[in-house]
Amino acid sequence: MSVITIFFFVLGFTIIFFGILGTIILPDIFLRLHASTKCGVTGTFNILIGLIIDRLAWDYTIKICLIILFVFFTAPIITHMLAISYLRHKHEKENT
Amino acid sequence: MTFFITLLFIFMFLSMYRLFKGPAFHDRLLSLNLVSVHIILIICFFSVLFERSFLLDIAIVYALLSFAEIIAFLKLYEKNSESEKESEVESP
Repeated sequence: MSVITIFFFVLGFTIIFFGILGTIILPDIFLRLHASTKCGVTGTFNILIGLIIDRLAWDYTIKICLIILFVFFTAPIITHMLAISYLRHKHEKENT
Repeated sequence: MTFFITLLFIFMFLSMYRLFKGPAFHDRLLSLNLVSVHIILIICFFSVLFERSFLLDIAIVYALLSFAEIIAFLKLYEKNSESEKESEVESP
């Protein structure tokens, strides 16, 4: 393992750790959604870039880039739908 | 490399806190998303550790399945809450 790989891994694990800490500590669900998505996506990106640099081969690079693209597309969509669904649910609860 | 995989497992169990103690249903789904991201990372680490590149295909399919799973759970929840509301209106 080279120094660059270890640097990316440590950066990604630090970001993911603070994301999980925010998920546990923060009081409101919107703050929790913010912490989980932002930190989770950035940490995943850093760790997968470290894996690409650790093993420089074409098939690994292409497949890991596909995983990075997929996580980048789907995580904000999931957060958006969760927030909209929770807002509607809360609104109906207050009205009835 | 083994140290980082152990750390990922520890983080996965830490992020299961909201899965068991969520006040709302959406907290559990949020935690489920985080857990599936950790599982994808663990599969990628195993693929690089054992030098098997087909495990990355499994990771791609798992990412697709986890996305579909969370959307399906949300749709089911909204359907259930709507039918409950209709039954409440009909009952009195």
